[in-house]
Formats: sequence, structure tokens, C-alpha cells
Amino acid sequence: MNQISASGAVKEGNGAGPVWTTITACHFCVKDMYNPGSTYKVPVPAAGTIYSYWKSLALEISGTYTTVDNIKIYTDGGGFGAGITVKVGDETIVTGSYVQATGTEGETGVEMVANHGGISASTDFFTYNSGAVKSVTGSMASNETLKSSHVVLQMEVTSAASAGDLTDETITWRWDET
Amino acid sequence: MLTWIAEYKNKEIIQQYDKANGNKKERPFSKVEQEKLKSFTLLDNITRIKYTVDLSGDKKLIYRKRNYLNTKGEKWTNYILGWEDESGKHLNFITSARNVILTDNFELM
Repeated sequence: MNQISASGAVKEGNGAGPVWTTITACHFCVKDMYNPGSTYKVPVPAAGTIYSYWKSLALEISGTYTTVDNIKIYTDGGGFGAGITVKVGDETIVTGSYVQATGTEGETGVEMVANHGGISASTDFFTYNSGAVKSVTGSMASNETLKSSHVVLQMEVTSAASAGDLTDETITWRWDET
Repeated sequence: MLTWIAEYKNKEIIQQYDKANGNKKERPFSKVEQEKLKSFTLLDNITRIKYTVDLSGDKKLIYRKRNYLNTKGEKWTNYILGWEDESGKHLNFITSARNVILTDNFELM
């Protein structure tokens, strides 16, 4: 067998286009942007639920390889604590069916199941871990630089949450290469 | 019956297995592995192992390079040698630990 090597990068889609940007952290916020810094933080409501703008994340494969398939995503199984949930859309979305995140900037996003045409239901993202991974559709061949389907993530915050910056949690992508 | 030689780039992993088993030079095998494995032999500098397995009823031998990337910026690879059963389900035979490499130059004999 020949030595083979594919490399992966995580891409976040933003804007109507969209523009896919390589990211090293998924930063939930209340604006359609990939790197909000300390701006557009998701507020803690007095009552009800605030939604972050949803995140569209894909795995892009490049390099030298024959095939890439069996793409999975999972978390460290932790969570952000009381009043904070991260949901993942049950469907993974092909690039052509991307839907831009919307809402009221600085206040709240719109909920993804009701507003993203490709998402019929969602699941607590932290129920996916190394022993229970989520499948992502898509496969690549012939050394091309291609993106997988993308997952849609959204943070939900209720009044039970405490204000302040959160400790990082870990998302892992996994794929098989032949 | 199928025999192949797998060469490990990192012999320490095998030595660790040996130590864990009282230096019997036996690797711990999973139940599925035990069902299929007929014999194995440590070769020369113990970075190569000769395997003989019974694959009757199974579809084909598979080799996987499984890559990982996380939001901590960590990347690693596991190497998996296994087979598919009649339903197409992948059954692992050998799975290396994180960052321990099973080379892709194993030989079917």
C-alpha cells in the first residue's frame, strides 16, 4: 500500500453566500459571525429562552487520499451547566441547502427547528460522545478538497444560567481514510 | 485461513502489552479477536507480528486510517486492521492506541 494522507479543517459558514472560514473554536454569539471576541455574547434572560445564532460547521478534507468516509462528530460529553443547552440539528445539511442564521443582533437568534428548512428536530449535542458519535453525511475521493455536509449547532440559554464566560468544551471530528 | 505480517513503527506499545501480561509476549485480545485469531508470532525486533486468522464467512479484510481533529487543536490518528462481516459491519481486529502507528505495509501472505 502507498502512504496516504488527508488533512482536515473545520469550517464555519457565515453570511448569505455563505463564506466558509477555517475555525479553531466554535464561539456561540448573537450575530452571524465566526469570531465575535467579547462582543455579541448570548445574554441570560430574566425569563424564557434566548437562542444564539445557529452555527453551520463542516469538515473540509484536503491532501492526498483515495477515499474519505465514515465522518463523525462528537463532544466530550460534558456541558455548560445549568440553564445552558447546546442543540444539534438531527439532519446534516449539504452545502447547497445552507441557511444563514438570523435573529435580532445583540439580543437573540431564531430557533433552528422552526426556522431552518433542513432541520426537523434537534438533540442535546452533549449526548454525543466518543462512545455514541453522530454521523455526518458525505464522502470524498480522488484527492479533492471537499467539505462534508454541515452540522447545525445552537446554544439555548434560560434564566437558570449564571452570567459570565464559560469554560471551553471540546468538539471532535473523526473520519476514515483509505 | 489468512496470514499477514503487520509492522509497528513503535515497538514500545508491544513491550507495554508484554509487561502488562507478565512478559509472556502475548497481547491481550478482545473476544472478537480471540474468535478469529488462530496464531500469532512475534518476529525479529518485536515490531513485527505475524497473524493467522480464520476469515471464513467474512467479506473482506479492511484497513482504516482513522483521523481525529478537535477544537483544542489536537490531531491524532488510529490505525485499524479488521474485516467486514456478511452484513457489511466493520469489526475491528487490531486498533492501535492514539498516536501509535500500525504501518500500512502489512503483507497478506
